[in-house]
Amino acid sequence: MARVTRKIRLRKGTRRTVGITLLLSLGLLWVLWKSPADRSVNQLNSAQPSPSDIDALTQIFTTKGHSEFQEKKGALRAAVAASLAGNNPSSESIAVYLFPDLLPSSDLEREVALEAWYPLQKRIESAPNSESSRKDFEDMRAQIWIYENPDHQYPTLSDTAEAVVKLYDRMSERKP
Amino acid sequence: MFVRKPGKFWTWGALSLSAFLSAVVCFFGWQHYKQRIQTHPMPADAFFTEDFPDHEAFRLELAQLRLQARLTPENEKQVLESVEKTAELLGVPQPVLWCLLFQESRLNHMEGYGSGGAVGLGQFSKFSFYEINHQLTKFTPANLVALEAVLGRDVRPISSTALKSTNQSSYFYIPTAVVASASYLNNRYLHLNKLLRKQNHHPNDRLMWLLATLAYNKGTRSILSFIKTVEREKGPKAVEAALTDVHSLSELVMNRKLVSQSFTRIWPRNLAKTYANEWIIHFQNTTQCALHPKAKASAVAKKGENS
Repeated sequence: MARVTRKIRLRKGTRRTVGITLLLSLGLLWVLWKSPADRSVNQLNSAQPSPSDIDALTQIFTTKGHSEFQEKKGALRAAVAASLAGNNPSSESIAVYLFPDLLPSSDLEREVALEAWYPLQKRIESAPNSESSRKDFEDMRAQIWIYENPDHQYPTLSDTAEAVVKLYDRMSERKP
Repeated sequence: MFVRKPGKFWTWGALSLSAFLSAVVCFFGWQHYKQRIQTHPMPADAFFTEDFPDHEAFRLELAQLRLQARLTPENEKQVLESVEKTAELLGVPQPVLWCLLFQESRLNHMEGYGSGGAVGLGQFSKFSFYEINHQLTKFTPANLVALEAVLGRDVRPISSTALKSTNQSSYFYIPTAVVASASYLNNRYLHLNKLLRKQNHHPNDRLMWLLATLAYNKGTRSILSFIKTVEREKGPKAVEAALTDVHSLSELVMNRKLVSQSFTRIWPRNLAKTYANEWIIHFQNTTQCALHPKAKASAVAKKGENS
């Protein structure tokens, strides 16, 4: 007598559920894999400067004060300078908004930054949390938004620009 | 006895008839287009049309807006008069300014009121107001001169909070919106010109107005990133050609891959693609609306020669 084998057939609804669950799991795995690793406040990724390095500077200014901030900013500057030669867009953006003097003289954005927000940033850093720093921050923020925002309906800034605005917002906050 | 299948006969007959009709339509369309160019001779220095919008879709839309009373004759007249006066004072080509406003708001001076987002004729946002109110003369004192000439006095601060559309400090007052938007556009134009000339480029002024409208809509950074990408991918000669020849500029600006590439240096990939699509549509609409038919035709003809 022929052996009867019976295929196990899942119902259509069950097949769909299993499929969706598998897809969601893969998606979750991918998201977790892509998430940036936590950075300690004192670490800077010298290989690939990124907007999170600017966020780290904001935290350093808030928790450790101005001189430590200047030291870490110097370290970020060196990392960006080293990375710029490799045509790295993230480093280029950081240079535009924080270190425009590192950009080559042929770079069109260098001139924009040196004239627009760079002098205001220098002034804020020389007198943080002062009344004048707040006015300078308002000017700086407006210039960055006007320069970069690509959408009138849903205004937005790039991660780098947003991180820089947050940094100088913190540096120009009026303390009671 | 040979019997032809009726199916094949009718299929070939239909195809032949379609081809014939298409050829007839194309022929008459081409004749109409040639006649239109001949009845709108382009003076030697004309680049922008006097008969704006020179864009079939915009003309249809305009007709619909009038029909549906979404654009009243009084408002349309006030927009046009303000555009004429402001354009003359600032040196902005009238078609560029009008087409920009049409593109941004379909000439609805109350567009976006109460939305919390961009508002009015020129779709001003919070920082657009900041520039007009605090940095109006950053690139030229002519902006303030124009404001005072059009409105009779310096009406700043201009804002979107005053609803009364006859209040001169309200962006919903048509002449105020036109002169403020024109000043903002003028600043983009002057800024781009200054940056490019400082790098020893010699951009064509008329093309700079087209780029200024893109900067108005997408930010100056989008233009500079685009130029840098063109230089990187195609060399400095391609940049020079784009800044001096409308055909070269059109080809590059509407190169979706190139534009996406330039935006990906700033934005995440999906956003970069969205902005690239919007940029191309904006450029197409502005050039179709504002350029003289012969200027448009010569760009197309050149493309045909090179293909």
